[in-house]
Amino acid sequence: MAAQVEAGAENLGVENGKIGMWTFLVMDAMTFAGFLAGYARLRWSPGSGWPMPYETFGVIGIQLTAFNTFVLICSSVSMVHVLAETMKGNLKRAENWMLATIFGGLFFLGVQGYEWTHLIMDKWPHMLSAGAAPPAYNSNFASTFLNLTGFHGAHVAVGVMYNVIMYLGLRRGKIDQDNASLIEIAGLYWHFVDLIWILVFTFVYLI
Amino acid sequence: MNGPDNLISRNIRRYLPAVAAVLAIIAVPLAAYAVPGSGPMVSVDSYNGENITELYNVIAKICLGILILVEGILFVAIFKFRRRSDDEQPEQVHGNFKLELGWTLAALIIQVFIGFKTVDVMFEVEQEPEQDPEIVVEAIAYQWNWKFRYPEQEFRGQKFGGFTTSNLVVPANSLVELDVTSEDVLHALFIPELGVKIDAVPGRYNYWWFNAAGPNSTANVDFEQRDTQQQEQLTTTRTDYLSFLRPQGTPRSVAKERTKQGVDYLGSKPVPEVSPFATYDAREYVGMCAELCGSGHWNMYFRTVAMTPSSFEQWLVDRRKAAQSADADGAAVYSANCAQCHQGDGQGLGAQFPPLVDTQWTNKDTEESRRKHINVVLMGSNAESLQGDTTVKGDTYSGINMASHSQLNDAEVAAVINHERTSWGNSGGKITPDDVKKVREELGLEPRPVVRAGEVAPATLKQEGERLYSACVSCHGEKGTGVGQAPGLINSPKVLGTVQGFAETLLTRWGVDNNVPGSHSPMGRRMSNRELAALMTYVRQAWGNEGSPIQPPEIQKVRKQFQSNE
Amino acid sequence: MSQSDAMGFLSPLTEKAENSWFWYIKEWVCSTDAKRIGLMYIIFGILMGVIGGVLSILIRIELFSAGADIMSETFYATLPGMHATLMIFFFVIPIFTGVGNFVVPIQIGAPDMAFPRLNLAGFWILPAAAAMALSAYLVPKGAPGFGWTGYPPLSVQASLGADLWIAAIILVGTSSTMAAVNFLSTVFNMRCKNMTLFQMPLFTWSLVVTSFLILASTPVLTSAMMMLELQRTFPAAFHFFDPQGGGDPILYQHLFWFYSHPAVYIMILPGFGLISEVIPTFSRKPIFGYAVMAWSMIAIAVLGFVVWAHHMFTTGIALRVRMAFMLLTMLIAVPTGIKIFSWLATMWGGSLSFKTPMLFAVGFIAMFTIGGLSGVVLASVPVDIQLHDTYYVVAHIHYVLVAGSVMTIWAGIYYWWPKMTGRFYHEGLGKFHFWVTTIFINVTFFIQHYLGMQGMPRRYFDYDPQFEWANAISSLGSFALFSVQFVALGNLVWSLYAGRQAEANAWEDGETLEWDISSPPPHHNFPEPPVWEPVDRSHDEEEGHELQPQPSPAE
Repeated sequence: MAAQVEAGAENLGVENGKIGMWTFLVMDAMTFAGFLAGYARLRWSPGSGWPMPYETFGVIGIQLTAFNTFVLICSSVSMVHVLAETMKGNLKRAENWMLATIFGGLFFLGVQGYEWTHLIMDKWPHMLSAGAAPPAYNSNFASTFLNLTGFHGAHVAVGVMYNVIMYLGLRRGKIDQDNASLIEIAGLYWHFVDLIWILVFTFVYLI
Repeated sequence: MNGPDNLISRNIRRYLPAVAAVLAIIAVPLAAYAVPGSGPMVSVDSYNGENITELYNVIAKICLGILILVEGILFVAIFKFRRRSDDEQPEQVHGNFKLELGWTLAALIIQVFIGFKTVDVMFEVEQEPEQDPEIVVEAIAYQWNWKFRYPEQEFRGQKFGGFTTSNLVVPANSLVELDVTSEDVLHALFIPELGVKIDAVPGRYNYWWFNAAGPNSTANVDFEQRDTQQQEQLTTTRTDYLSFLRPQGTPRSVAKERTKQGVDYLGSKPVPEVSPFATYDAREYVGMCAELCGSGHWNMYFRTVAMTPSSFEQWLVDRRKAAQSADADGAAVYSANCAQCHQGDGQGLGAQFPPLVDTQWTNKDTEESRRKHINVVLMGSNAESLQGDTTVKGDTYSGINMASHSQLNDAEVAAVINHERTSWGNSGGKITPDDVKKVREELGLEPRPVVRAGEVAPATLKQEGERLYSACVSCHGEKGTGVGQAPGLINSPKVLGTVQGFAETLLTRWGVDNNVPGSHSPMGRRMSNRELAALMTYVRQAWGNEGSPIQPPEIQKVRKQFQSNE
Repeated sequence: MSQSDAMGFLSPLTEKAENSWFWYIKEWVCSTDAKRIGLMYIIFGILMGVIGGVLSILIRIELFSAGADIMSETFYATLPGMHATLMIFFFVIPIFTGVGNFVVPIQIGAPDMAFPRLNLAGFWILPAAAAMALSAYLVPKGAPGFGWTGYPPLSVQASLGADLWIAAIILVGTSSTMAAVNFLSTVFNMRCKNMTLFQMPLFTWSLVVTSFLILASTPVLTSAMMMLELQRTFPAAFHFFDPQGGGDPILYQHLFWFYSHPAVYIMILPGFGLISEVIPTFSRKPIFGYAVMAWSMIAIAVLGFVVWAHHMFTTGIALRVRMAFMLLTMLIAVPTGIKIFSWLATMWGGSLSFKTPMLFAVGFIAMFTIGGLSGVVLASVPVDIQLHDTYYVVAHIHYVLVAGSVMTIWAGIYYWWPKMTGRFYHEGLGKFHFWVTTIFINVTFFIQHYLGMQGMPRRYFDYDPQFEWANAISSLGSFALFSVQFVALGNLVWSLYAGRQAEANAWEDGETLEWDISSPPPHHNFPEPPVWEPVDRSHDEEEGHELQPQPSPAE
């Protein structure tokens, strides 16, 4: 390992890791921006034949996802508790909150898997076999849906793994009050994933 | 030790400014040549081309001025401020607010000037003039060639259209609208001398227009020479524009040699000795593809023939005569469908495309040979005589991959076969459209009687339409009965009414207007004329409906009108 | 002082200890020292540049005379795209990252980059990506023949090579975003005392601006590539760019150019910064208008994000959209012009010493101006419609990339070579390299303006024989241009063995921090954290007082 270097005298007053995470999030946000721009262009071009989402998913589907969104937001709240407890030094409580966060993420992924399976099997069989008739509306409704939610789902999956690593760090005592910023950085990522989901949910399901 | 060195360097220093001055005198105009003056723009033979060239000259002069200024300052600085002694310490200047503001403003003013100048020309060149175009041509690109479809229209009181050509023929000094699209990947239609470039994008039409100067153009003409040659100039075309594609030597033998060495030789594409438009008063401009579209990208040349309006009318008359005699132009069918692989001289190409000259298919005056020939044209590589390794004139071709050409009608097949059997020294005897019809029946292919260009046999349309209808089943039901709030199609006045009314329904987002829940996408817009005609024909003739079939040219007409209304 | 101390970070090259060969390799391959990584970037970049050069020479041999000469059209179709891919993604961008890796931490007085291991990982992604891109030539049907732009539907049609290419592009994007994250964290958080943002050397500034560009634009390319790959892999399910399925091929172009226009600045801004270091050193004058130079880079970067559609003037986008993009494009000429004039003003009244780096800098100004002005010509929509996708555009990009980026890369390598290796290259050979390069850049690319204006489209396998003489000139020029680069490489290798030893301040007039430490620099750059002596960056002549040459902070 390279020797720990003395930080520069002229700095922003936060550690490198946090700047690194912020800059990474800028770039990640731009990736989503690329996908969302593509979505917008396909949907709002004249004569696109885009269906209304609530008719396609059905009210049940949207309500299920709304509940899922709620769970994800709750996991963001619990992530805040993890940080607060770590900073206070209540590592045991922090661990439990972290477990709740991880559970939130896993729950979200599970519901999304359920949703995907049903959509593909029932509504978009053309995706699996070339012979099946495509839907009467623009099939990019399905393509962009899978693309956006899938890319976000990958982020959630990475986030869950990240949180598991943090959980193990807490359990084994490698993370404590003194380097709580590690939790904070992980939290930045998790909140970001949450924020992106709200955007995706709005665009893909609600509007 | 330093003596000679010093001497040399002193001498160099003495002469350096002189040498550099000479270099600068050569280099600056040379550099200037790069940006603005590198020969004239070629786009001077059309109205928009002239505008573009004029604009270019203005911008180029400004750029030339800036270039000379920058290079001048640079050269002066290089010589004036060379380091003369090692302990020179120049004045430390950090900036000069007025100077910096000055050049910022100057740059801004120059750019704004160029910007406004350009905007002017843009309105002039890129907006289609308000007057109606005198003719409209659809340019359709595919890998790797062009076809030009003339929709039904009128030119100087003469109705014409509904046919497709492989060269762009237009009246000179007339406003021509080009509707450009593609069948597969992106292409770009580029006619350098006319200042025309527009991408061909699959799934959409891009519009462009031009007004070609044609045979009476004064650009690029040496007037003295012109006086002596005027008669010639006005009665024939200029020398064959695509002559450079003619092969030198015997490409076949070269190709053989290269193929043996493992190099896939693709020689140049030959064209007929003289332009097919030699008899008209016209000027030809070479057209090409400017957007990378695969390996054949470089070889999508076509002729843009700008004829005097009277010649253009004559050309239309000639075309109609040819069409009425139901005697398709074998050479034209050949160059559109066969020349890409078998080449214009029938010599074939490389290790994949066998020659057509003097083979058992094309040059044997027997009933069997003629039959085999028809068979191959209709079936492509599925033809019986092409199974397994095929030996043509001593060369073995394995895995021939030839497309079926059964989409051509009987007259066209007969014409192209007769063309092949009587050209390049072949003398295999002619066939008639009836022979083709017979072979089709034997092979169980659908009949393709002679129909007007652009039209399709109704049975074919119906069949194609049935497939397309699957996209409508979810709302209108398999039997056209309608599902839920979607209306039934049987005996529907809309379906059986005018072509116009029915087509517009499919081209608009009518669901919203008619308060039907959800939005019906304007599916028709994404379909080709033929697809739409097929779908409509099917609906008009299915489930007991007894409407008349609808042909693609009719759809084209509706679509045009519809677009101009929008 | 033992030899290994004198060699600083280069010690694993010279150490004659009882170490095994494995140790030498490990010291480089696994080194987290930004200077070693920087050097590896540069060596990798040069290697890729040579391969990309070979591809361009193949193109020029084929075009030397009309007709099919040495290859099939299918093989030819792969060349322009692979040449551009290698040159852009594996040559220019990595080399600037490499020079930045070496120089930026030293210039701001930091011991290393903020994330050394991320730095190493970011570098090693590149050879993997390059291997993927090049291995496209080994799979059935060969490398993709769709240019470096990869426009669908052609790129959807293409064979397996296209998948490798797409994967390589995504990997390169990942690598350069990793470097960008690293540069930003380093510069924002690790500057030495008194090194405020507007005290930073302009090369560091250029890397900061470039990193922002990378951060905001590269991910959009990644998303376009992912959408393209999805459509290629699951054609039944995804139709983003397929008009038959309700998609739009033009959408890809928007996403692609949203990255690839800023990419042009990613490739030239570090060059601008570099020239802003070289010219003051060899003029013995501070840079003219420092603040304006920094702000103009920022202006170029910001404007660079709102001009992408000028690559798409012929795709049929609306007239008013074209107009807006054209006017914004023309605005970019303003900050670029400011930079050119500021360099000239820096030289004006100076004491100019024409060592090789300075020659390259001056040559860059002289020739980049031509590329800039042909850019003004191309910005004008009607003219662009005539010249789009012709050799005029080829001439323009090569005047800004060869006469621009490559000239600045050479200026930078010659400028910092004594610092990197502790040895001087052969000055005479360096000058020879400069003159031959300059002359043959013009011979090769000048004439292509003419070809474009006469209507010769780019990426053509064969052409009208009336263009033969011009193509022959261009080809001959390119052969000479390519060959002379090996003289330069030989010169650099020679210098390692026989070059003159370089002192700390190798050019005597270097003002930035790297000239205060030994050549080559020690392992962690500075024995103890340096303190920057603030430089007068004031703008107005009246307020600014004349400064004596800065006493170096170490004194």
